[in-house]
Amino acid sequence: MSKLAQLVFGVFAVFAIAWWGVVGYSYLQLGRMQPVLDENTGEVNPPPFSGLAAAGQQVYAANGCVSCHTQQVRSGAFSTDVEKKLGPRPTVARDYLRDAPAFLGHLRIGPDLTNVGLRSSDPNWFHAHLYEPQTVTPGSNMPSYRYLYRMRRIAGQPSIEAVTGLKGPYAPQAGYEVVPTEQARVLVAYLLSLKRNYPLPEAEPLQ
Amino acid sequence: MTSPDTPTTIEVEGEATLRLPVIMFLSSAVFWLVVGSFLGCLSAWKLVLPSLLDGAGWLTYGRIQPAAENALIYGWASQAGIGLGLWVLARLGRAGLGSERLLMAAGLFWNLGVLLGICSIVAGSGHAIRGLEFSSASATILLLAYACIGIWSLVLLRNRLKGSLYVSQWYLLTAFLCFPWLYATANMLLIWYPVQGSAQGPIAAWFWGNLIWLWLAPMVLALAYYVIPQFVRRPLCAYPSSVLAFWALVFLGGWSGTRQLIGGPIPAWLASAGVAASIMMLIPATIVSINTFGALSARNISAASELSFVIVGMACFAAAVVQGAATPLVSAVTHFSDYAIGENVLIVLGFVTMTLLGMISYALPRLTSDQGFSQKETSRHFWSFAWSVGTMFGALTFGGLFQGFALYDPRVEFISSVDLAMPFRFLYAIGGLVLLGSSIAFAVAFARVILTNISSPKTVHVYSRPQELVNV
Repeated sequence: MSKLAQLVFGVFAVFAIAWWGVVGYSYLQLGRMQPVLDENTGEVNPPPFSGLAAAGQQVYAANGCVSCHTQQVRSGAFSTDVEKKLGPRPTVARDYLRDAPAFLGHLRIGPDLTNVGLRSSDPNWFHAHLYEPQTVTPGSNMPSYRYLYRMRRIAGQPSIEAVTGLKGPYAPQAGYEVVPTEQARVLVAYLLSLKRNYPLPEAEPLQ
Repeated sequence: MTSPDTPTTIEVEGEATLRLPVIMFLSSAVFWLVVGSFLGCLSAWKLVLPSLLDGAGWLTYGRIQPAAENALIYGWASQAGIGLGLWVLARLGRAGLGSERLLMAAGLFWNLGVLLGICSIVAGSGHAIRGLEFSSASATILLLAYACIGIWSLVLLRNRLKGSLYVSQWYLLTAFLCFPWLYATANMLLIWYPVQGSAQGPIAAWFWGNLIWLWLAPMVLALAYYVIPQFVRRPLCAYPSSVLAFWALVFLGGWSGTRQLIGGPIPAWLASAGVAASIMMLIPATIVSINTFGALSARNISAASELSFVIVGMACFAAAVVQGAATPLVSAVTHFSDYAIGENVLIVLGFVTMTLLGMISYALPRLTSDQGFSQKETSRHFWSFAWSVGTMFGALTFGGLFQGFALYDPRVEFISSVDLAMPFRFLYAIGGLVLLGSSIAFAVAFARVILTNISSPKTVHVYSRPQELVNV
């Protein structure tokens, strides 16, 4: 074998070891995990996303929410995530089974969102926060997602969807209302669905 | 064979065939450096002034920031690395291309892929996986273009004049072989036919680690291994040990990615393997540092020159490996904080960008038969880039520690971590502004040299090769 052929072969072999070890293992083991049936409640965990939430996942991806928000409650000596009450238990691989894609994230410029649906179940809170974050969370450096909303003149009755309690410079004038677009609606449905508090055989919620 | 001390100017057919393609790769790379610095600067300012340009979806932080990262990686660093890498292969092997047109067409196609990819992110059809944000169509274009680019690395290596292979050639071969494999694997399993979410985390982490350590790093190390002996006119220090460093880096680089998921939702051994690999990387990094820094002497580094870029780049390489090895010590505090952005700044801007800038400054007179940048210009470029990268890295690292302690301490509210990081992020944004200015100044100077010399004769300076300096 020529020197070049030896080198090509060597590099391929060495690269293939990690490729097989990390990618192959993940694909064959983690990639084939199944949901589990909770015999006490009769529910399947992790629960499937609703159609709206699944669509909201794509809005979450398109707007790069993952640039600032993680979705993982870490375990072990390297983290205080559970003490910080980011969730009732650390997350495990099975939690992400239905995520497409899995938004693990790598920075906490904003807070972790693994269980944001447990912290508030009020869609209006999420809409007001997305519309003008600083008016809901003073000191936040989250940008406004006003472009996911429409301001319009109230024709007849106000919409039941209209975001209420808005403050700040972009709050609607009298006679106007702010309503979510389809994108905002599904995004909030997705955020409300983020609850990883169900039990899994490998991760029971702490009492 | 020429003596090491007397560089001669001779016409080399083979290398001349690369002149136009390499100039094209470098010109487009410099263009993307400016675009990437602009987007990066904008996103840094958006972090401190969230109301800045916040009315439109295509300007939102979550799109501008990945657009900047991808412009710098695929537009700037990859293209500069490809151009300079092929050029170094031609010089070391005294070989040329069969068809420069095919390579140029492929290069234009690559640029089209990057452009469409950046537009897809900004338009909101990007994928939220780091380094894989480009739309499927752009990723396909990149891979197709790459097939017509990467193949020339094998042609140049096969047609080389001498039998033995120099360390730069090993590293370049590694980069050129690994990139299509890892980019295709990651796109296949995460974008085109995505595996279920439970397996995506480790594959994405593997991809990001490999993109840095088996694509960008080997290309840049190859350039440093090539150019340092040229500058100092003496062989690398402890050259035989570079074989060990090479294999260790290729092996450990492949494993190092999963340390990003320490404590995360993956089997603990996967994260531990990543941490262990990052620690063991100290061994090859020490050897690389001895090889390169050992060749220097005080005389070579007395004034800021192209070499200064490379020296700073290699120092950042060593520092980045030390940072990686320190993961288990600091991870609890630093893991999701700005410190982690600082780690990327150190690698992508410090190690990769600084070395590439030095190498471009070095290659320019040899590609254009012009004098290239004046000593004063190079010195100005060096200090402005070094200052901005240093500021950005320092601000993120220190700010990240404060922010990280706030994130770690269960008694502290989340919002305090934002307040603590803010002054440092402001400093980071100022650094970003200086980086943008430096990139523009570099691009203007680069364009001036290229435009005044584009029609010059195809005579190139050939200096003795490192092999001739080193008894391999």
